[in-house]
Amino acid sequence: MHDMRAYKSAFFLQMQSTLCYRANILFYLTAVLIPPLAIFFLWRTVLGEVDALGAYDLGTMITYYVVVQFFIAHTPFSAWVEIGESIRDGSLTLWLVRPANHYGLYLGRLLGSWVPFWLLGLGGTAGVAALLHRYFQFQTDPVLIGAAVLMWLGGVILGFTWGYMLNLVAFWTERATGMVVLAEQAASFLAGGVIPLDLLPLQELWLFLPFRFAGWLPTQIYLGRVSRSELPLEFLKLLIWLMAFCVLVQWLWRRGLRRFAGVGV
Amino acid sequence: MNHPQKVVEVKGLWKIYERPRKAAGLRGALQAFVRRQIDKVEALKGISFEVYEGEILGYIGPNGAGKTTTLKILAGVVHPTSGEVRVLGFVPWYRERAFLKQISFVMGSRGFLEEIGWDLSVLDSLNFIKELYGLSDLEYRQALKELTELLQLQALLNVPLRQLSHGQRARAELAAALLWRPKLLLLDEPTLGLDIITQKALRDFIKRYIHQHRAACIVTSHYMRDIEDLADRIILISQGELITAGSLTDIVERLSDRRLIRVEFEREPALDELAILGHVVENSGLQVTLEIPHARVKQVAQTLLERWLVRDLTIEEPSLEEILQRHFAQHA
Repeated sequence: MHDMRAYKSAFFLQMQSTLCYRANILFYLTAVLIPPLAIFFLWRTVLGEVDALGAYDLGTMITYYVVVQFFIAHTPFSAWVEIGESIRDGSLTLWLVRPANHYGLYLGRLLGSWVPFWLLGLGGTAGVAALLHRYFQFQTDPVLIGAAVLMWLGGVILGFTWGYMLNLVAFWTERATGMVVLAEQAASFLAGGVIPLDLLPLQELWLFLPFRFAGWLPTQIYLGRVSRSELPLEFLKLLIWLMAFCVLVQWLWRRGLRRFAGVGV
Repeated sequence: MNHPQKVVEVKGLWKIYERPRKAAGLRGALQAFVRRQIDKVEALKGISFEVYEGEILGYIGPNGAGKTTTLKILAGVVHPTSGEVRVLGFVPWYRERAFLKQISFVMGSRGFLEEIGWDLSVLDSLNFIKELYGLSDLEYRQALKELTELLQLQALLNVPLRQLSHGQRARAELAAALLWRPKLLLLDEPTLGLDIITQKALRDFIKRYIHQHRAACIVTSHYMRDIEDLADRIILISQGELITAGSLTDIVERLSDRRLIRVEFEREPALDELAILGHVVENSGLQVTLEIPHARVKQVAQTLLERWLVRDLTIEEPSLEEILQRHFAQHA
């Protein structure tokens, strides 16, 4: 209970901190708008030649990209490189002496810093969808919309946990930035940000990995390609992955702390 | 009679670090990139000590002596290589919540408020700390009132941290470190970079806090004034080993068999004659300071008064700073 108070407080505190930089938030809007529009022109050219690619016609493809771009761009696959940096420069010390779980505090802080961007991104994405309304397929089933959002939120926590785990490597390598950036790129691809995963070869493999929960799967739910009866199983898989990641994080954290020297502060 | 409770108990504490070796320059960087060499550094070599409630322990030594490492072990941040440590009855590196809620680790080089957020007001950050430590509204209000009054923070509470001066930030950091009324304060260079007025204000406040709340405190500082003003007892360490421990007077007695005689003459004396009596450490014409062995103080003072026209004469112990400088220079 006390921990939840701390996480909630970290969430709101970080949100306040993010809102201090108005210009930064507005610049962000351009980053949200440009990729879906660029991809629209690309796929209109490609699918102008053929009727469909796999199960994707132009409308489905445009919808897929607009939605998946929103999901992936707003998923913190690299968590905060700040976590790895705090291990390297010793400032983690300042958090270790606090009576709260470090992972929980950082998740709260990260969500707090992202929520303003999510809201802004949602507005921007709605604008793009309206602009491309001739192609964009609007989902009207509230259950599917809710399930897609819920699945994506689970994917966000999974993405954060993945990024957090990679940052913990700094306990051994001192600097994890290179690996974290590389892993972020890979995660974005494996979440379906570049090509829909069901269009890739070896799709059984990609669809087994957890990254799909943050992009491809919620988008498929939004597109109505996952039936309601399949949803519970998918949520269960998400939960299993989350638990596995949490166990791994705990293991790395404990072992890492034994090596931590707090050098730098 | 109530005996003070033991707050910290350290027995045979060892810490060996691994430190990568890198020669200077690009060549060194390339060599380290291809083949990393690791040195083992003995930061602590079997240190033992205790701290009791209501006590302020000055933990001093030159750079790299192992002071901060000890504090990090006591705070549960660093695991020792071997040895036994109990802080408030807990093994620190298990980092139990009940333990962490009773300690506070203040580092002069880096503050927690800074870590929480530069752009946030002091009050926002203090509110966060309230939630972090699970304080009730009443506990928080009382502590906040007391700390803001004593540290004169009222006018600063709604100012973003980045707009505070270094001294104002230090006061805010101290308030942030005491909000949950810790039973053990670990202060690592708490007055680093502060002007003398702020240093004194912080020292006075720390002393009052420790004695009022029957807390315990371990303080490291390179400003000997901090130690002289704050510490009830001192531990001196060097290269990871305990050199000596005791009260300030004990340490001065033990480490220095010398005294300073400051003399103000009526007429300028011949220095070569004075040099026979002792080592002339200062000379500004009429005023001369001689350093002499403790055992000869009486005899030299008598000689000075008999042979010269003396306006004033004082006998002083060398300052802790002077003693330590000499001690570490001899043992370097």
